[in-house]
Amino acid sequence: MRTLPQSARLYIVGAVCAAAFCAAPALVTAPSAALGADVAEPFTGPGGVGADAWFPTALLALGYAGCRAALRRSPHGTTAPASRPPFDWCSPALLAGAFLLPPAAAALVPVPGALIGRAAPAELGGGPATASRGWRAARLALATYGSAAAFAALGGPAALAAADLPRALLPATGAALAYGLLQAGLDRGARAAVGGRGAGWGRPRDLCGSCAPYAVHGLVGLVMALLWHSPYGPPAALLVLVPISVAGWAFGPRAPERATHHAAVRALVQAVDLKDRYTRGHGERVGAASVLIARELGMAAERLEVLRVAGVLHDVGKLGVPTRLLRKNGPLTPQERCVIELHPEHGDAMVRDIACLAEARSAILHHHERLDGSGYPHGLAGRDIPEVARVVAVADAFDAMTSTRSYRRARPVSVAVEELRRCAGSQFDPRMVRALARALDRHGWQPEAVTPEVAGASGADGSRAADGTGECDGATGAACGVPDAAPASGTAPVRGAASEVAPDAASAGARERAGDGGTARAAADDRDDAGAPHDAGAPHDAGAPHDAGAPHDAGAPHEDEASHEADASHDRVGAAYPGAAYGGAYASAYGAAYDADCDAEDATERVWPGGELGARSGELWPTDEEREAFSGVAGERGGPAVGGGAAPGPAGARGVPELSGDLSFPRAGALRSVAAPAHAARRAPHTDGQG
Amino acid sequence: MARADASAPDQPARRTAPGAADGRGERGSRHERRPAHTAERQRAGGAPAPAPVHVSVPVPVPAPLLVFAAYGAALALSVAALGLTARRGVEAPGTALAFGALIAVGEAVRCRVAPARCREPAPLATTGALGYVALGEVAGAGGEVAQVTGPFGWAQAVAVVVAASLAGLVPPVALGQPAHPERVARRVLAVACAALGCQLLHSGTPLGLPVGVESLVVPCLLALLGLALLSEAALAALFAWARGGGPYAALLGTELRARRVVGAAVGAASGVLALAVGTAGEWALPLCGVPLLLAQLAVRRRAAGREADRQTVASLARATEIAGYTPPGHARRVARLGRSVGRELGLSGRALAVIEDAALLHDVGQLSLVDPYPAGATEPLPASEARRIARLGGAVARQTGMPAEVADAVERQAAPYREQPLPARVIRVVNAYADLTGDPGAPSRREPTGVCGTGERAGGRAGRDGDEGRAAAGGSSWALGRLWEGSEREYDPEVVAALARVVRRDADA
Repeated sequence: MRTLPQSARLYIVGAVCAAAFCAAPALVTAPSAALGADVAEPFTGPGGVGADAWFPTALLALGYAGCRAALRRSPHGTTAPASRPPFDWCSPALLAGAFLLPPAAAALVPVPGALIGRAAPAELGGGPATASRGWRAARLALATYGSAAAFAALGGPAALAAADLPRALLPATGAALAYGLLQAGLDRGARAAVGGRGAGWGRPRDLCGSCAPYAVHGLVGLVMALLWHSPYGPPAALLVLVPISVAGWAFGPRAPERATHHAAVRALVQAVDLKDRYTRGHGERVGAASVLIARELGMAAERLEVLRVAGVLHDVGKLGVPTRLLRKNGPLTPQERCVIELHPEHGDAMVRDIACLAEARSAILHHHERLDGSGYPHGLAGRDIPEVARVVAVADAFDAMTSTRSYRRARPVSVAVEELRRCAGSQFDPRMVRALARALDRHGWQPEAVTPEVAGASGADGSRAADGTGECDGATGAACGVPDAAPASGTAPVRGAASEVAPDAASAGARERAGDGGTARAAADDRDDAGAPHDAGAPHDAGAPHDAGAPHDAGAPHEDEASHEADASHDRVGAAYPGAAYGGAYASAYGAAYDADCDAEDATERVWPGGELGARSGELWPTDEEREAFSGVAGERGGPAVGGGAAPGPAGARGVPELSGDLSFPRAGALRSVAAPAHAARRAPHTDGQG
Repeated sequence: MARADASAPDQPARRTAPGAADGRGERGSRHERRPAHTAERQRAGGAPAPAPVHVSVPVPVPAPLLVFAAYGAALALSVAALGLTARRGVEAPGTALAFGALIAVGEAVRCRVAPARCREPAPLATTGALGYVALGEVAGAGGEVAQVTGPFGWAQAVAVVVAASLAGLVPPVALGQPAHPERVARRVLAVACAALGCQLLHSGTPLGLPVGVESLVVPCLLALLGLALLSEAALAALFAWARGGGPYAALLGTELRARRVVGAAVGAASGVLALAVGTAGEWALPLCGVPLLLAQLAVRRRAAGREADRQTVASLARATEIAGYTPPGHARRVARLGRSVGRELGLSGRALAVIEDAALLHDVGQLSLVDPYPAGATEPLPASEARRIARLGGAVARQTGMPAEVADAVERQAAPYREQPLPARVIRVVNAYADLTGDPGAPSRREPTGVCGTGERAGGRAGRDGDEGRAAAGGSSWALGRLWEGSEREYDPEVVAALARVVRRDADA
């Protein structure tokens, strides 16, 4: 008890005293008349408890204890979510006691069972075992007392005695809800008193939600009480506990998961993370963006979850691309590009057998299709492309532009939206682009928000929070707030992107250089603000003066872009977007915390921007010849120790900038999903097969 | 062989390469069973040596007749019951309708899982059916509700159950799901058994109990329900035996063990249902029905979740093959061999399932590698590397929703055997065996760059070491010898012994 704070100790002691006071009449009153003779009398007050109330009390207490003992060995153990009271499958026995017995006796029923159960300090949010057991007994005793009192007040006992079911339903439901509310309320109070994780009173909606299962238990308790009064007696009533115990043993302390696909998504995301960590974060952001678009388009709520999953898993096919290719430094040969463009089909092959991901599968297969039919793998055009795929394509492009890569910085949101608009009609569906623009106007966007798992905590709860929030209420505002926390924020103005948007650079092949934007951390100083934006397209020139000289507390440019972003409160962000609360972890995530669970053996595969090439890559390459030379050098060195440089392959007929992102920080996957719209538009006159 | 594939640039656009890999894996596994007799035959040139014929254990001739007889009996009983009920009219139609509705709803929301995986996909329907029969028992003992009585009382029970089951099957079948008539037949026969038993107890035969002895009702009820469930298990074992599964006694034991938990729950719930309706009239039906329905929906969700988990595991197992880290079908071969070894060691069904799932996932950690290892073999690796791969694989396994033992087994598969749980030991030994024998029967590996028409292996399979790997591979006896040598520290000697027995048995077969 000493480890608990003072308030918690007082709370627990108070609860135990209250429970003892409630049960006192049962303990001190001498046995008297038989229970069945005059049913109404014992219920009139906390006064006398009939003699024969002892037998039912003892029997029910035994039944409850037996139920709990059976559930102790459940394969799920007693790990309950920390923020809710553990779901008690044996509560029908308690409710039956509340319906059958006077309140004082009913308060005694849970005591033996609660004391023998496994000590679960998590119920208290920490603390010693005896305290948690005593607390559990007191909480259940008080809740049962309250529910028995409610039952009596609603006129239940008379209806029960007459076996008049319709009349007994209302008191039973009322008593069960009272039980649930009391239980949850007491538990919340304890957590608030203890403080720490899961503290606080929570939302009223959660409170009501946790009471709903007790209504069903109330029905079961009523059946038990009915059977108790029937000619068949207590054995019939105790028979009810058998299926209850089996259900509790099978399902564990949580209610069964609502959706079946969460585990599948989590597992695939984890597998992708093994291969390429950037792709994982990218996927999650694309999922959030897809939900934004879908909500704006007015899709039904079930579809939102489908789109979220489609976005999260759209690049799962990269598992099929050889890692060395994904991390290659140097231009890609046409064959290699061909290999990488197989990734939609790889993804389709991977999720083909998972029935619950059937709808996301089309997005995985077709997210590189273009509206004008020049996409891959099937070259679908226009309306032939499934709607999900069209949404994901737009979201994918958006995140690709607004996230930091090894070779370039992220672009501001407005710039990205402009470029999407420019390509709407030829590459993207204009409806989706418009929806995205509207959604961003309304909610803003938080780039590079890092989800809990990526930050190193891949607990079940964390992942559940990340995946389970299908309702992305929109990443409201504060997009500018968060990057402030990150010195090397990806939202800093993009200088090096200029190289990316050079479609008509002489060597059309020299696309995005890893060299250019440099690695975000290495270029934490304004290295890439200096230097000319070589062959920057017009929009980027427009962007350049806008961003020129912007300091790295990058709030300012964003405030210009999004009018009401700055107004949103931070906890709306946290509630809305699962990763938003961790936006501040961006910097650390891109630092050592990223590798929290990897050994030193992984270090050889990680490329730190401190390496030689990483330093060189911070510079800009004014001429294409130098770029070529660099790519040649990088190609020679090869191997995972190379930092920074990844040269893009030739532009390709479809304008996809083949860039094999490199291992440099962040561990970037290749951007193959979309051409920077600027040079996609400009490439139309230069159809250039090989580059 | 890997090289031969790679240097075939004129292969047609095999954009279905990922899928084909899987198909080849399955074909490969079938080929694996056929020994090298084919090659010998070709070498011999002349009259081919008679290849050993692989036949499964011959099913005894009467078995199909028994199955036919079972279906026939069910059909005859249903027809007779329906006819009799139509002629005599339905007693207590309200109760009959209510129970019928419960059974129909239970069938309509049954679990959408293959019958082999889920023993009781519609526990609500079974509860309703048995509850209706048990109601006859309750009424026979003097309850107030007018119920099935008289020499043809069983007919109404069977008729209601048949009609409701068929009605409940209409929605799933209309949606395209398989109907599984075997289940309905089993239920009909079990209900008929129980109803006849009930009749015997209460309709004035010498066995009849004195009416009005309520204290005997519950035990009698439980006995009756136990009889019904036993007969259903026996019928299920019969059908399994007819499909060629081995000795009947073993099958019956398996069925009983698999059904013990669900059977207990269903039996108790149907007893409660009958007693409640007997006490409080028809109102008790929705009262009991609502929690039962919710439980059924939860079971359905859980079964769907388990199915999704299994599909995820299969998909992850294929991921390493798609990515080119392991030979196609390797994970399935290890899983199958691991199951055989586990069965040889006498493990329970649950442990075998753990071994199978962990074997399918054991190579997932290799996705983190930059270059594939030759033939996906992790045995020759230094311990730190193997442990790292195992740990990463365990992290993925933990997310799949499989039980924690699977993730543990995957995570600890590279540890010395004394630190490993049993499934991990089995997988380690079997995987080592497969690696050391060069994965016999593995078909040629997929070369992803072959699709794109080039001989360069820019990141394709590490075929450069494939041949060396094969050269180092020896026969199974050599591999077993190596395993014995490593059994002081790395491999559990008991598991190696079991593997030796399995291998020898397969070679003899």
